[in-house]
Order: sequence, then C-alpha cells, then structure tokens
Amino acid sequence: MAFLSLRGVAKAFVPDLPVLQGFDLDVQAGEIVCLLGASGCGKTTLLRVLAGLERADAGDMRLEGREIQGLASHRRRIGFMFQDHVLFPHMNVGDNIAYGLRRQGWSRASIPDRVAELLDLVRMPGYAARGIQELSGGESQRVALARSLAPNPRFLLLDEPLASLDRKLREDLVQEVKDLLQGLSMTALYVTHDQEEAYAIADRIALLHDGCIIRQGPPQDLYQDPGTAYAARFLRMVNLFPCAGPAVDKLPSWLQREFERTGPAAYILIRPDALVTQPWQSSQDAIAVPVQVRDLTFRGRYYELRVNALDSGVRPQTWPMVLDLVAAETSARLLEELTASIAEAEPLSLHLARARMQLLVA
Amino acid sequence: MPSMPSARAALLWAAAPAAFLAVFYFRPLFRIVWTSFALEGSGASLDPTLGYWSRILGFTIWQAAASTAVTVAVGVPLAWWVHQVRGFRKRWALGLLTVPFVMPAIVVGVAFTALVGPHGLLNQILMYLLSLDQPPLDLLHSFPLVIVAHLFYNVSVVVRIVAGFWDLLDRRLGDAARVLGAGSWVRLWTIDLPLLLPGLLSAALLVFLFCFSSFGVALILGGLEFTTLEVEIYRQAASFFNLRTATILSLLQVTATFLVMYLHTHLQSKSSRPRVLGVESEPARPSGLSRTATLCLNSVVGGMVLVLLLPLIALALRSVTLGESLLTAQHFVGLFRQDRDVAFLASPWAALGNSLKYGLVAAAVSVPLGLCMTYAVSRAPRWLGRWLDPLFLLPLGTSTVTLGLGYILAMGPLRTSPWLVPMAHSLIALPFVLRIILPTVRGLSPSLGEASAVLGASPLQTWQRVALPLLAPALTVALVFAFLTSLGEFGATMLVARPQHPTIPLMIFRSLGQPGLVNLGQALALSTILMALSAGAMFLLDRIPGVARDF
Amino acid sequence: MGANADMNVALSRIVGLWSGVLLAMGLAACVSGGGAMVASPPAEPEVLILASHDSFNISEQVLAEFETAHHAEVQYLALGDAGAALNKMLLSKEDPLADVMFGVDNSFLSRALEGDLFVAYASPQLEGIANDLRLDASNRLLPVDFGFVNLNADRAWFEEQGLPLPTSLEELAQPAYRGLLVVQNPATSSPGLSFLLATIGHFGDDWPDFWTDLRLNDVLVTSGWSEAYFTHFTVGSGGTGDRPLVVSYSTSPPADVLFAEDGREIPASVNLNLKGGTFRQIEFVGIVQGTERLALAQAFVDFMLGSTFQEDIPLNMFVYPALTAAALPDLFVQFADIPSDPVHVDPVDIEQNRELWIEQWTEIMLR
Repeated sequence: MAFLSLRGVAKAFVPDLPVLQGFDLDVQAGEIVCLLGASGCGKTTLLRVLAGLERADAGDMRLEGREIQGLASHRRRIGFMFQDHVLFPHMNVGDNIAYGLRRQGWSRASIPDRVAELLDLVRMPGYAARGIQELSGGESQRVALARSLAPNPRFLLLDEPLASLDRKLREDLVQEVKDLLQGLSMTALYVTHDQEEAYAIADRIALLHDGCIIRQGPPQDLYQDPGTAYAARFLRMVNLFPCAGPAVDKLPSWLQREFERTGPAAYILIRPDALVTQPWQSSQDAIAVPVQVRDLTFRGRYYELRVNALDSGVRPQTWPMVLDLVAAETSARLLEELTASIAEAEPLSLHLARARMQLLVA
Repeated sequence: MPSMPSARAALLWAAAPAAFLAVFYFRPLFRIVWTSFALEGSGASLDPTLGYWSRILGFTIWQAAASTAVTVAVGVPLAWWVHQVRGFRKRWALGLLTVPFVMPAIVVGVAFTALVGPHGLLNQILMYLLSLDQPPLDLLHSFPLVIVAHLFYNVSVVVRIVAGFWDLLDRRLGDAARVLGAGSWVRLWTIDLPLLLPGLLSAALLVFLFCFSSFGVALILGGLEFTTLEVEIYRQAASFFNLRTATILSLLQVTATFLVMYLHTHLQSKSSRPRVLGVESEPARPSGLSRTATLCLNSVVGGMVLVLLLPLIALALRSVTLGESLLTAQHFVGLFRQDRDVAFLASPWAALGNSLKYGLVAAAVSVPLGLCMTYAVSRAPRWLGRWLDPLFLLPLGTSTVTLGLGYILAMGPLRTSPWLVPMAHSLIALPFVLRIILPTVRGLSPSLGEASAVLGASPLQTWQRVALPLLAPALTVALVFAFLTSLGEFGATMLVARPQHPTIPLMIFRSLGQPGLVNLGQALALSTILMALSAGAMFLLDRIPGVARDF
Repeated sequence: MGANADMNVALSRIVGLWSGVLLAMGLAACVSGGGAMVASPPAEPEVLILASHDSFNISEQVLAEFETAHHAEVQYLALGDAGAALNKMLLSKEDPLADVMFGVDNSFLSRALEGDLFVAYASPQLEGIANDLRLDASNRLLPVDFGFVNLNADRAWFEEQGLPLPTSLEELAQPAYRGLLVVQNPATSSPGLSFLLATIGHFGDDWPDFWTDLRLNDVLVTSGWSEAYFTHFTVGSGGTGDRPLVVSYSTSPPADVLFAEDGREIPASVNLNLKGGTFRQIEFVGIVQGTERLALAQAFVDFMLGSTFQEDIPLNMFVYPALTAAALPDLFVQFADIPSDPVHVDPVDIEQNRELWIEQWTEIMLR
C-alpha cells in the first residue's frame, strides 16, 4: 500500500462548481511528487484538504494506511509550507521554528538545540534571534522550510514555496530544497505552476486540470510523451500546431495510422531537435517537409532555425516553426544551404525525424 | 489622496475645523476656566482635601478600569464571532449592538430600570419561574449595575475595533499554526491575541475614556455613592456653585483625556495598516470547527447579544404594557393627543421634527469639517499628527456641564439661539466622523490622484471624480453616524436647547419630570421610537460596503 | 510629486474655502436666529426673555393675554433645575441672559440676593400676596407661588397590608416601615434637599441620628425625583414599584388624577403631612439687573402676580398661587390640603450650611 493514498477526493466551495472531483493519487514513501497545474486547477485546495484546513466533501484519504479525514488538522503531523511563507510576524526566527516543537510538548531544554539544528540544515546558523522583518525573501523561505520540518512531520506539503522569489534565487533554491528533502528521506507533495521547477524537483509529476490528474509520471516520461495537447502546452513545449484538415493521403503510412488513432482534429508536436541532418534511412524514420527558411540565429550550443512550412498536408503554412541545430554537428554545407535559402527565398526540404514528432489529442 | 507629509498643508486643512473648535470648544472652555478663578465667591465653602481629590479620581479610574476589563472580556468573544460570520448575521449583530451607543443615558436608565428594577422584566420572570411573592433581585444603585451599563454602552466599540482588526489579519497565520499542531485555543492565545493586541489596547483605551467621563449612567443607575469626576463636576457646579472646584476637576479630566487619546493615537498609527478598499467581501471561511461546535457557538453568541439587548427589549415591552395587563398601544396613540394647552410646550411630533432637523444640520456641519480634519491628520508629519489627532478628539472627554457654562459666557447672542444645539452636536460627532473617515483617506493611493492629474483633470475634477467616489461609502457612514449621535444626544442638548424647540431626549426628560402614568407612558413610547430609529439607521449603515466601522 | 503637491494645496484651499463658507453660513444662521430675538424693528412686538427652571409651565391663552395687551412676545429660556438656572444667571450677570427670572426658591434666595442679580420692584400687586411669603423685604424677589415637599403614600398598599399610615417621622425608622420609603439625594434633587431641610428644621442638631436610623431601616436613595416616583413608588410606577412611601409634593395626588389614563377620580396616593416632614418651597420672580426693557419686565411681574396668571398656576406647575384671593381648582381643594405647620429654615442658614449639610448627609447615607 502506498504511503499516501487518495481515492475519489472531491471538494466544492460552491455547489455544482467542483474544485476537486474524484481525485486519485498515490505517493510512495520518500517520493517527491509535484502537482503541476495552472492557477485555479485545484492544486492548492488539494493541499489544504490534505492538511485538514478544508474538509473534503467525499473520498478516502489514507496516510500510512490510516484514514486521516476525521483527524483534526493539528493532529495530522503533516508539515505545510505556504506560499509567501506566512511566518509569524510577532515572533523571531527561533520562535517561529520552535512553534511546532512547543505544540508537540518538547522540553524547554531541547528546543534550542533542535532550532539550531534546523538553522544549520537550512544553512542559516545563528539566525535564531533575528526578527522576521529583517529577513530577505530567500532567508524567509528557508526559515519557513525549517519551521515546517522542525516537528518531524510524517509528510510535507509545499504550496508554491518559491513563487514569490526572483528567477535566479528560485533556480538556486530548488536544488537546495530537493537535496534537503532527499537527505531527510521526506515524502513530499510539491505544488507549482512552473514546469522547470517541477522537472528539477520531482520524482514524479502529476499534471492537474479542472480538479483531476490528467497525466502523471517521472519528469522524463512526461517530457517525452505529454499525452495531450493541453499537457504539452502547459509544459511549455514549442511547435505544437493544430492540424486543420490534413491531406491524409499525402502522408506516410505511419502518420496516417496516427491520425486514425487521434482523429483529424489533432495537434502535432514537433520537437525542436527533430531536424535530421544526416541522410535518412527510409520514410519510416523521417518525413521531408518543404519549408521556407526565415532566419537562422546562432545561440551558442545550437542554431535556432525559424521556418515557414509549405504545403506539407499537415499544418497551415504561415506559422514559424522553431528548430534547433546542434552547433557542433552542423556541417558547413548545411549552413551554406540554409543561408542561401534565406537570401534567395528559395524553398527547401527539411527532414524531420519520426521519433521526434507526435500527434496529440486536444 | 495623501501626499508627502507637510506641516503647511496639514495646517491649511486644519484651519476650518480649528476655527470651529475654537469657537465652540476652546473659547467657552477658556472663558469658564478664567471666570471661575476670577469670580468672587465661586470657591468652595468647604476646602476640598487631598483625600477628596484622591477619592474622586481614584473611584473614577477604578470604575473605568473595571468597566473596561469587563467590556473587553465580553467584547472579544463577540468580536471573534463577528469576524467569523458574514452577511446579514454580521450586519444585524453589529447594528443591534451599536444601538445602545447612541442612546441617551436617560433612555438607558429607563431601559435598565424596566429590566432589573423592582417588578422589572427580569424580576417578573424570576418571580414567575420561582413562584415568589417578592422580587428577588435588587440591582439598582449597585456598583455591578454601573459596570453592566457601561458594558452595554460600550461593548460595540470593542466589537467593532477588534473585529475590524481581526478581519485584516492574514488567516493563513492561523492555518500555519494549525498545521504546526496548534488547536483553536492555542491559536487564539499564541497567534490571534498577540497580533490583535494593539487593536485591543486601542479599543480598551477608548472604552476607558468613555467610562472615565461617564455621567448619565453613573448618576442615574449608580447614584451618588458612585461619584465619578463628571458627576462630581456636575454636583460642584450645579448644586454648590463651586466653580473653582468644578473647573479644576474639568481640567483634570481634559488632561487625562488628552493623555489617553495621545496613547490611543500612538497605538493606532503603530498598528493600523491603510485599509484596502473592497477586501471585505471575502466569503466566509470555515473556522475549522465542527458543525455542532459552530451551532453551540452561534447560540452562545446569539444569547450574549440577546442579553446585551435585554434592557432595550424590556423598555420596548414596558412601553406597550405599562398600566395594562395585556398589550396596549395607548402610549403611542397618546403622542398624537395634545389636550393640554400649555405655552412653550412643543408636541412630541414637533420634538421628533426638531431631532431630525438638528440631526441633519449636525451631520451636514460635522462631516465636511471632519473630512478637513482627516486630510489634516493624514497629511501631517508624524510629530504634528500625533498632536492634531488627540486634540481633535478632546471634546469627547470634556464635561458637558462645564462646557455648557462656558457657552453662557462665550457665545454672546448665540447662546440663546436654537442653532446652538446642532453646533454642540457637531462638536460631539466630530471625533467619530474623524475616526470613520480617516482609515479610508489613509488607504487612498496617491497614484490615483497623480494618474488623474496626468490625464489632464483639474484638482477639483480629480477630487470629484476620483477621491469622492472612493470616499463616498465612508462619508455616508459618517453622515449617518453623526446624525445618530445628534439624535441621541442629551447632556449638551439639555444645556443649550430652548424649551420651545425640544429634541426627543429632552422631551423624554420633561415627561419624566411630572407625575402621572400619561407622562411615564409618553417617555417610554418616545424612548422606544428613538431606539427603533437608531436601530434602523444602524442596520442601514452596516450595509454600506468597504468602510471602516471601528471608530 | 510636485504637481501632486500643488494639486493638494489647491484642493485644500478649495475645501478650506468651502468649509469656511459653511461655517460662516452656520454662524450667520445662529446670529440671525439670535438676532431676531434681541433686536427687532418697532413694528414687531417687543421681546421679553423670561429665564426659568425646566418645569416652568403656563397656559397658552393666559400668556397670549399678556402678549396682546402689551404688544410683546415672551420667550422662555429653560436653564436646568432651580439651582443650575440661578447659577447660570449669576455667571452671565455682566451680559444678562434674560430680562425676568422666575424660579428662585427660598433655599436659593440668599445666594440670589447676595449675588445682587435683581433690581427692586415694589409691584402694586404685592398687596394681595400673603405676607408670610414675602421673604425679601427689599422686594428684589417677589413671591409667585409656593408648594410643599411632602411624603406621599400608596393608600391601597397600606390597606392591603393592614398597616396604618405612619403618623410621625420617627415611625419611619421603626421596623414596621422597614424598606418602604424612597427619598432623593439632596445634592442632585430639589425635593430631596427640601426634605433634608425639613428634617434639619424639625430635629435641630439631632438630624443626623434620624437619618442614621432611616438608613438602618433600609431607606432607598435615588438621584432624582423622577426615578424615585416613576421607578420605585408603587403608585407612580403603575404598580411595578417597590416602595409605597415617597418624598414628593403635596400636589402629586391631584396630578395622579389629572394624568391618569383610567379616568380615576380619586388619587391612589395621599399626603402624609407628618410633623417635620413637610417643607414649604416658595418660588420668586425678579427683574434682572441690566435689562433694557424695564417697563415691560415690570408689567410682566405685575401680570404674574395678577389673578389670571395666579389661577393658571395650580394645574400647570402643581403649586399653590401666592395670591390669597386666587381660586383653587377642585382637585387641589379635595386632595392637596395645605399642611398646617411646615418647617421653616432661614434662607441665610440654608445658603451658609447647604454644602456642609449635604456633605454630612452624604457621609451618613452613602459611605
């Protein structure tokens, strides 16, 4: 049995307008699961329901095999790290961290040691006597983490813990949080709307839409196969094009079969690295797409190529598609061909690998 | 639109209200102080001893402190509840609880008598339940009754201020404590109360001030065993004509008021954030309590509200049962009868008309002046604001007896004019108007005005189109509150009103001055009408969204 | 920011101006309101301001008679209770509030005369006034009416209990009458003070003993008359009170009939007229020094002492007219008998000792 198991959890604040509906999720011990979704998709509500801050309307929630629905919030021993951190403004750093310890009845003598231990853990030794107002954003984030970890929760919920920080700090901290949680073998549910944060921290990502999980799996799997166009868009994947009225008969047979699976109103997702520069083996592995190259930009590790696809039978012609050419592998001949194509406005055929394209339902 | 603090702008804004205060407050006060020290034979024939001063001051402080403690103790749970609920329950509770605050002491006296007097509602119920021949309770003229009456008067102050603060607290602080293992009580003690402390203290100081200058309640319900400063001022000035003693006591009271208000202002500026307009519509969030617990709490709080309102209920009941065993409307019908042909005696309906007229004038005078005061205070540099604010609030803690005598000396031909009544009412309403509008003015973003100015609006247009609509709810609440203050004002009215132009409270006082059930019935009926008017207006007032109600 | 500051200054000027205008309008309204009362064109009736305590009452027609005869308009200024009214007049001596003042009583007579507030006027009407009422030989204050502070009892209550009505003040301190009496605080109530004065006149230096006994016998003290009468007196409260004996006036029983709602013809309360328990309050009128309308003021004083006004007094102010020849209404004849020997205390003694006596009383009764 999973460490945390949710079955059919439902919650509606307003009747007939469910925020969560029939929500199922299993989390294994020591696993960090990331809930990824747009705002309003119910991810924060799920955390609040799990923490006991809201009551679920229906469903079954088990932690270590035991039902927790009937357990008051302050008895669940689930840690919660809030967006904006929500530190107690009338207490200093040490008292904030010690708050949960006092509630658990830690002895007066043992509390300072534990506080110091946690401050070391979040790499803020000696901060115990600081006031909350004196902390920077990153510091208060660490204090909040220390506070939620202090009483040894069975399970940690993190609600967009990095959302209020700037990008650079976020990138630094996300790795730190991951290391810390893994070091403690802490099971955690991490809510974010940022896919890069999710890729970086999660053992498994669960993609939420309208109060349900629409797709879940390890980050790599999700990247490889987002499953739906919605998921792909949410994961910020480029080159996702609706296939309006594809001329199916012009397509290779494998693509025709794909369309049979998805129906004609599908989306095609072309990975930027789909461009095949080596001569291809057969039409089973790649297709040739006539394009008009618009520009070529050197990006360091790679070249970025923007093309307008010509009549390929798959997509409308006007939208640019972004393709990457790994700089090291690009031959001088290909570069020449491309440059000439731009200068002379001559169409060109590009070969896109079959493995790097897929059709997705909406 | 507060801009950079500037002493010059602040003083410019303060000019009109300062002129008003100078004419209707400081000059009369100064004149009476001057005269009482200059006038021969105005000194006491018995020299007050040190023991006398310390006894009066000691008792005044003691009763105010005790009343404040009780009021806060009852007010905080009520505030918690008001903070939890939304919608009509919140409006009703706030509206009903505030009715006593604008009732004249004379009506409160009548109401409490109808409740706890011999054969009052409470005694009758007890006699019926316990099959007794004699009323078991004898609470009139007891210290606890004075405290309870102060509680009844002022609990809305605590509820409004504390609930207002509570609504502004980040609820997630409580959530954070909850997930860290804190139950509801622990959360209350470790999170909510410490964070509410400034609001709580500022409410307590305000209540302390009101009880410190308590006059009508102390005199009518307590009697002279319980002599507060203000009662003693009245006794010295009116009975003995010891103006010097009365004046010294008045100055003592004014000084204490200033100190308390200074502290209050200091606390408020330290703790209050500018009010963000429109956050109040946040829907009710579950309190984390079970359905049964919520039901229990609701009934407990409902019971508390009911108990606090019992005196008013008893009053209304008495007005329809007096002299009859069953319900009767004769005392209300009697108000229409004018069978005595007496000169200078206005009819009850004329009194109602006067009350409404004076109320409108008082509102029309005090709200613009209060708005200027608000701009002055919000714009003043810190050091100046710290002085301006308590200075504007001084009339709250000044003996009306002393001020009334000052009016006779300083008002020239004005002193016999009926217009003096709404002016005195405006003076009393001003501090509340200031309290109501100030948070909204502080919350107006300066960028709004700048944006409008950049778009080419003239200052007046800017004010009209940008500030005024945003201020409108607060101004409306202030207008209604000033109106209500005037409607229920008794002490000052008593001193300046002309008998030909009585107000309702004055009419009640007059009716109670003559024997006969007709007169008692008229007083009860008028008190009930006054109460109903105030309750109605209060209810409307709390429907206006987006305004601070924690004066 | 600069533009904004300019705007704010401009704005503050506008609003300042506006409030100034408003204030000026208010003041103008006050002045015009007051002005109309003070100065009036010759064609208008001459205005006479009468200052009095709050319980001054007179019939509309009676007043109209005077106003028509003298082409005058009488305005009434209520200044609180008798003591407060006098204090206010004394305070405004330099710039008098009124032309005539009515309502100084014998307990305040000395203070008023010492304050040199009134001018002498030997009204021709004084001839008809009983001699023993004329306490001021200099005729600065002329007696208008008199009344008696008296103990009232609930007749029916005593009958039901089979208890005889008390026949002397001393009996009130006996166990049989324990917890039956309500009195007023002399510091805040005029009848309360009068009753205290009566007991002082009656018992002499032993008065504190009597009051100590009363306190031990559970007498109830209220701040004012209305609370004692309407809340505690069994008659006045319409049956919900707890005290069948009250310090009130000799004329309260007739008022009980006049203001009854049930059409009763016999009052539910009776006067006790105990020896030493009644005190005569005489009310005086005086012309205020510095009045600009001396002639009219004198005419008004004459009018107040004349029979029309005097006969209007009983049912409006519930006191007896000072004019011996004035006819009394039936209610007075039937139920408001004049006590035979009210206590007399010299006004000078009262003025000198009032505060001391009240302090002593307070010490005995409340501390």
